[in-house]
Amino acid sequence: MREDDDRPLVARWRAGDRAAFEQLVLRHQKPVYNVALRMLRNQEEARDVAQTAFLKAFEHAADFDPNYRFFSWIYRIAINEALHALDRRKPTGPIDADTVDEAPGPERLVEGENVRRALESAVAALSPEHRAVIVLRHVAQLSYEDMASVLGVPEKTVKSRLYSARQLLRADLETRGALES
Amino acid sequence: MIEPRVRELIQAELDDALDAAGRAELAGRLLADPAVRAERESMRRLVAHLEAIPAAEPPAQLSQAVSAALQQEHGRRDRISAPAQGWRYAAAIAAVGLAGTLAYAIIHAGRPAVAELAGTLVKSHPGAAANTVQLLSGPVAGRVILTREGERLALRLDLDTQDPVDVEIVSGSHRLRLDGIARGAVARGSTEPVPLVGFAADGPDVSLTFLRNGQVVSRVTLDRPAQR
Repeated sequence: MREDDDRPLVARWRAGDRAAFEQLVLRHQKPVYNVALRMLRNQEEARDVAQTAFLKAFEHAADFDPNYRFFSWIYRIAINEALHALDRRKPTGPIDADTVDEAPGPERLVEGENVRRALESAVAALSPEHRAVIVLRHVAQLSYEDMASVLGVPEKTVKSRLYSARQLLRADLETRGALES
Repeated sequence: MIEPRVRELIQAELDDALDAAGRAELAGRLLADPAVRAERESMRRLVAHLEAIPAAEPPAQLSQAVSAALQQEHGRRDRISAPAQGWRYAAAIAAVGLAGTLAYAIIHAGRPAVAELAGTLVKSHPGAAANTVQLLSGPVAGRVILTREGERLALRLDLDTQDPVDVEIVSGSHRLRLDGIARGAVARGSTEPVPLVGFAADGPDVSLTFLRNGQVVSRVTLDRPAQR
């Protein structure tokens, strides 16, 4: 999503046009929901997080800096809400029955669905910080600069976390036999 | 052993963040060292798998729930800032609703629009209480399920209707409207509960008015589920 696409709607919303904000919700609900879903692996929690993120954004319109991109802001709220949800979930958080890892074992997995499931499990096994950079890069398709803005850290930190996260994922997938070493 | 600088170049290339000088440097390293080529290929495959994870569709009622909550908040602020206007608005809605009901009753005199099986308890998930009303016939059929978990109320609609209907949900002074609920929205078997934000768990009964093209076609009232 290009920043210029949102600017007219953001301007209308900040001027009090609720319908403009509802257009922004329609425009961004899919990536925001997917970011929450990949962070949490639970559809109900992801829906709640996405809904809360949009409502908080609306309530805090006065805090929004129009020099920033709307999607960076809404992703930041969504990521923070997802991290709070993960904190609340500890130590025995629910996991969707349909996304439970079935531990494929040492035998080599075939390409396709099994690789996808192994990858989703490996992403879920990452720390929240590492998971966030993977999700923002590969689900939300954000640049280093945008990820840094969303996470409130320097670009250098984003690159370092992304590198570490990918190394961990690769090692996990190789152990599961889902990726050739 | 791959040098940190080379790993950095490979990552930047995978993320479309490598400038011309970096590309030239990486190309030289790739030509000179098979281990660098293997590392790049391994990371490329990992990223390809990550990019191939399909995006999920958000629940159909996500944006509706946000809109409804915004509308509710908007209405609340209006009532606080302009109570007289709020009363006039409420009176107008009540008058329209009453007129619609009378018109519908006259047109459909003698034909029961809705058969209700109120008070049926169904389990939605552990810890939650639910109250279900079955709409057996009439313009709108299906089920309306009011769930309660602690102090939170939510409403699920399993409707069987050929045309979209709007649903106005009222309990005491709280009001929520869901527009365009149709069979297609629930056919996937994932009828997402709509949170009734601000509705008191122990407040008055919850009334639903179904409208099609602005005309009242059905009404139903649910008792609040008792706390477990």
